[in-house]
Order: sequence, then C-alpha cells, then structure tokens
Amino acid sequence: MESETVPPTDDPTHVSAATDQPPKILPQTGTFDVSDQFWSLDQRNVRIGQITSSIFSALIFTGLVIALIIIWLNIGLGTLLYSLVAGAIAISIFLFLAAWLWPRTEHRHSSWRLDKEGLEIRRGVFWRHQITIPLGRVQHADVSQGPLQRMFEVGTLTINTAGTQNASVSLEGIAYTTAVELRDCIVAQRKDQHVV
Amino acid sequence: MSSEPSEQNPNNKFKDQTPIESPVEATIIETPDSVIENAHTPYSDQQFGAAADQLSYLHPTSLIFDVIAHGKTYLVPAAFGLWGAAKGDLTLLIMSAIIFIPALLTSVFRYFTYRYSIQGDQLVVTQGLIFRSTRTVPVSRIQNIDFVQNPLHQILRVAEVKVETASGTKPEATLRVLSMEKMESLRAAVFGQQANLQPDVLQQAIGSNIASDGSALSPLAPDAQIDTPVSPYNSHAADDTHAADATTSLLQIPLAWLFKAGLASNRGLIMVGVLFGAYIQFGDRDLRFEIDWFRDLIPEKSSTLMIVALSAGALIGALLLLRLFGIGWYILRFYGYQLTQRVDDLRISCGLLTKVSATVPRQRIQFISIHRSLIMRMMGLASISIETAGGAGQEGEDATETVSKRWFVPVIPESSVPELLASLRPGLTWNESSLDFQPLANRVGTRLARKAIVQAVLICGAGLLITRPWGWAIGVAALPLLLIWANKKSKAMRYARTENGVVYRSGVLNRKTSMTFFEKIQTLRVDQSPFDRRWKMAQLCVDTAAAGPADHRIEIPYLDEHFAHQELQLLRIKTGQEQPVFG
Repeated sequence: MESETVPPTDDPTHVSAATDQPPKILPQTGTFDVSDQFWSLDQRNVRIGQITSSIFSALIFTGLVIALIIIWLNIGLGTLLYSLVAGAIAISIFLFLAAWLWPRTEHRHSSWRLDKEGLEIRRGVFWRHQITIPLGRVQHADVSQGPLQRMFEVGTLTINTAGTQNASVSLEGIAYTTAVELRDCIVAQRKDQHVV
Repeated sequence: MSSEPSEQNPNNKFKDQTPIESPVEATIIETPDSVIENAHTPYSDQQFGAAADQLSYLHPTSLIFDVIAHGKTYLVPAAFGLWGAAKGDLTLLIMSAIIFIPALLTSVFRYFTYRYSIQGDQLVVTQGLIFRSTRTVPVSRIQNIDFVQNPLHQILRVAEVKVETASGTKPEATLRVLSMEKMESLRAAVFGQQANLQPDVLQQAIGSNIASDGSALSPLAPDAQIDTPVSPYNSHAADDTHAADATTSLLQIPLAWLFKAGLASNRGLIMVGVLFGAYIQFGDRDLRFEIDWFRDLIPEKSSTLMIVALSAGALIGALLLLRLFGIGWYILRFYGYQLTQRVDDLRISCGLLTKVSATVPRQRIQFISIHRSLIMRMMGLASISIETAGGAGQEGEDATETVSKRWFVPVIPESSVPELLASLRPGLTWNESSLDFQPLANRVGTRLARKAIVQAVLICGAGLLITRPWGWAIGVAALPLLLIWANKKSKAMRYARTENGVVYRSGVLNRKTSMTFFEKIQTLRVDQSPFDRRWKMAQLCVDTAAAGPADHRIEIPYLDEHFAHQELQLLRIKTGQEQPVFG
C-alpha cells in the first residue's frame, strides 16, 4: 500500500510537539492514502493495542504457569509435564508475538474518511467491513476515552444513527483532537440538514 | 377556517363528566422530547373555551381489564394461596394475601388516579397520586387514536384506546378502557380541534409529512394540508371543500381471499403446536397413553394394507385439519379487513372477535416487503408487510401492532399489488418484471454448488455415524436436491436499484421482495468474509430504522466485489442527497 505521510509525525513521541502547529487540516495524525483518500488511524493506537493484548497475554501466561505448577505438584516431574511445559511455552510465544504483531495488522486494515456525503469506515483483517454513514443520518455523536487512550491522547468517536443493525458505529483509535474535531464537524453538518 | 366552531367544539361531548379541580399544578412533567417543544401551559389557551378543564376518568370496567392485563401478577399468588387453603395450610393463604391484596389495591389505585382531559390544544393524561406524572401531548401532534376490542370489550361496549404521536415506538398514552361513546368523543375532540387549529401550528406538525414524500416535494396548498385530519365523526366537516380529503377505501378483503390465504399458510401448524403444548402442560397425562389410544383405534387383525390406508387417511385428515386451522386463524384475525386512506394516514380495521383499528402514517413506512409463499404464488396471491421507524419487535407485541406492522395486508391478488403500493407511497410505480435486477457475481453458481457438495459430504459423514454400512446413501441422495436448491436460490436472489430506492428479492419457496427508499436508508455496509474474498464477492447491507418484523433484511450476499463497492458509493451519494424522514 503506497502511502504518504501528512504531516510527518508518525513517531508518537513527537506528536505533542507537532500539535503546536495550527491544526488546519483534519486529521493531524495518521497517514493519508492518496489513492483512495482514506486516513489511517492514529499510530499511537497501535501501541495501545499492543499494551492491551500484552496484558491479556500476560494474564493467560500467568494462568498457564499456575496450571503447570499445580500439575507439577500433583504428578511430579515426567515426560507429560515436560511436554505440557513445551506446549505452554509455544502458546505463550505465539500469544506475545500476536500481541505485538496483530495490532499492526489491524492498523493496516483500518481507515476512515470524511467527505461531503459522510463518514466512511473500513476495518477488519479476515472479515472486512466497510461502513458508511451519511451525514444527514447522524443522530448524535460522542467522543470517549479509556485510561490507556488518555495516556496516548487517542479517542473513540461513536456515531449513533436511527438504524437497527448499525445503530451505533464507533471509530476507535484516532487522535483525541481529531475525534473532537470530527464530532463537531459532523454535528455542525447535521444541524444544516435538519435531522428529524 | 370556515368550519363551524360549534361542531368542532368538543364541549357538549364531555357533559356527562364531573369537573374536577385541576391537579396539574406542581406536577412532574414526563414528556417525550418531541412533545416538549411548543407545549404551552394548560389553561393558557382559551381558544376552545369551556372545553378545557374537563377531566375524565376511565370507564369503571377498567378495573376488570387492569386485573386481566396484570393477570400474571395475581394468578400465581392466588393459585398458591388457594392450593394452601385446600391443604388446610393458612400461612400460605396469608402469604399470598400479602402479595395479592397490595397488587389489587394498586389496580384500584391506578384506576382512581388515572385521568385524561383535553385542555386547550393539549391532551393531558394524569397518573398517580404520590408520584404524580402528567403527560401533555399537543393535539396537533396526535397521529392517531387506535383501539382494540376483544369480545369482552364488545360485550361491555368499551375499548382499549391508544393515542399515538409520530415519536417513538410506544403509544403516547394507553387508555385502558374507555366506553365507545367516550372514545368517539375523544376522537371528535382531537380531530375536531386539529381541523380548527391555526395554520402555522398545524403546518409545523405536518411539516414532516410534506418532506416525507421525498422526491415529490411540491408544497401543497396550505388549506389542503390544514383541513386534512378531519375525523369521520365530524359530520359538518364532510361538506364540499373537505370532500377531497375524505377517507378513501383502498382495499377490502373478501372472505374468499382469507380462505385462500388460510389454505396457503402454515399458521395451522403453529396453532396445533400451541394446542399440543397446552395439552401436554395441562392435560396431566402420559404421552404413551395417547399412543395406546391411537393403537386401539386400529381394528384387530387388520391387514398391513389396511394399516397403511388408515395411516394415509389419518395423515390427509391431519393435513386438512391444519389447513382448516389456518383458515380459521385468518378469518378470526382479518374478518372484515378494510384498508382506508385519509390523507397521509392509512387505517386498517379488521377482526372477527377481537376488533382492531390501527393507523399507519404513510411517511412512517420505512420498508415494504412483499411475501409470496409457493402456494400463494400458485394462487396468484401475495401479502404485504411494512415496517415503521423503531417499530416494536416481537416482544410485547399486541394485536394492533401485529396487524399493522407484521400483517399490513394479509392477502392481496398479485395483480393489485402495484396499485396498492402506489397508494402506500405516492409516486411509486411498481412493476417487478421491469426492474433492472442486477446479476450476482459470475461464479456464484460454482460457489453454491461447491457448498452443496460440502453439505452432502457432511450429511454422508453424519449418516455413517448413525448407521454404518449404508449411512452415506442419504448424503448421496441429498446431493441432487441440494444442487437444485442452490441453483434456485441463486436464481431467486436479485438486487435492483430504482430511482427512489433499492429492491432486494430472495427466497426459493417463500419469496420475499423488499424495498426501502433513499431517504429511509441509515447506514450502508459492505462485508467480506475470507470466503467472499477468495471468490471475489461481497455482501451489501442496507440498514434502515425498521425493526425487522417483516423478517427480511436487505443484505445481498454473493455480489461481485467491485460491483458491491461501486454500489456502496452510489447509494451513499443518493442517500446523502435525501433528507431522512422517520415520520
């Protein structure tokens, strides 16, 4: 995927410095794909994904260790235990690798754009979804932030429509400022369109 | 307005009610959002003179119906207590009384504290004594006053009345129960007033109706709009100027159609299931006993042929009975079905024992679905169901909703469908054969055939698990059927885009053709599973505010990948151009 960085603030550590520049163009972070006009999510979101999945993997790892200790205490050393240990190590390695790599893969497959018709979101690695919400159909929009998201200045934009299956669509992992701006932009547009 | 105020004034209709001091001061106003705006304080409006300040209680028989409606609350403790008493255990009786008596008191309390009145241009419903809530509904916003009458209601000459506005899913107020006279006077008061209101107020209320027609935005003459909600109870309103707005009959279903529809439906099966369940539950018998009973019916020493003949006869009899049940259900529910139109409201009334009168404002229709089962197609019939915004789901559905949302038109000759659809949505010309149905992806046949083969292999495996040497035969036998089915399925499945919406048709036996319109579309989605990607296919989903009682979603699978994405962009633009309308 050929992509071009606008502006060059991929490195999460430099973002706070980058926001000193007047944020004229939405969004300030993420990369822009010229070929299809879609923005990627914020790079920092990858880090969040890695942290959360690492925590998850660590929990499973602890569980495996405890289970192995219990088995060891019950059956003692033996071929069975060794093979179990080997299995647990394999699972753990896989989990931590996945925790590291999967968020990157997800990041590559998630993007969004806002144009005069509305917001369009792409996501999913195996099962792919492309959702589009016409601006006039937005009932209300919220921006929310979890604790990790607060640390990384990333937010989630949730858009509610009157629909049934996609009554609420969320765009998780864009820069917080972008999320707020997007929300304001969408709500302002909505006002123009006299939503019933 | 030229109509005589004396006729519109509902004052005289309220004579029989005793005036009660206003309870409205210092009340909790519990009003839905749509109603809050332009809600003036009651009494401020002297326009309708003495009509204000009249409070009405529900009909005294309300108590009975309230108890029936909350039957479950009473039945269990009552049964429990009686059971205890029968066994001579009084503690159980006391315990059940502790539950039972407050519940009964609540009903009594509910009855004595429930009042409604027309105050100025507001319908005010007051409820409760300690926590009093007052609901204020501007009369101009009232879309309809529906009612349900079961046989008990009919004997007592009362009805359960629902006051509906365009907002939300639930009726704004349910008056359980009113006498027919009061119901009619309420209708006359509400619809009489609507005709009497100043143009701008009503224009505001009807504004959405005008926009709802989507493409046809031609503003009607204001007069035509204002005069519209004239009630049929208002005799003077039916003079020459109002004649154009009078109720027009769209459809009447004769008994013969209901008969055919009952024959074609599987309703009987459901009824038999219900009866069977009830029998098992309450019959208190062993099922083996029934089998023995059936066995006794067969004469001793009868030949195999005899048994076969008897079984066949029994089977045919059972099938006939099923169909009879189906016919019975249709006639019970839809006897005397009438669909009428009054300006932008479609009204249905039907029912043999339980009579239902329901209204669907035309602009609230989000989704129209035409269903034709195999037998119905052979008889040239169809049924139409519609979905409205946020419409209720299955749970808590009552007779009015069942008829208006699930069975909008239970049976109609296929030839009359276009005409009816045109009146459901002005400007909709329906001609299914001329629709520009788009083909599915090229390789869909191959894909479905391969799926059928996989299914057949699975059946073979399952068969082998059951009976060893010959189990695979079932799978082999099923294969041609599965292949034919796959072929038919891909042939039936079609998508089309018209100038005002999208149409999706699917179903081999029970064919469903559904449509929605650009201004009703909420979100659009293209999904691709890993399998889809391998076959370069995608699924296009169109989401509307319809809740889904029509049991058909516009989710078109097996479209060509590029086509689906292209269509998504196209629909996106089309949808963005239209104003959303929920009605």
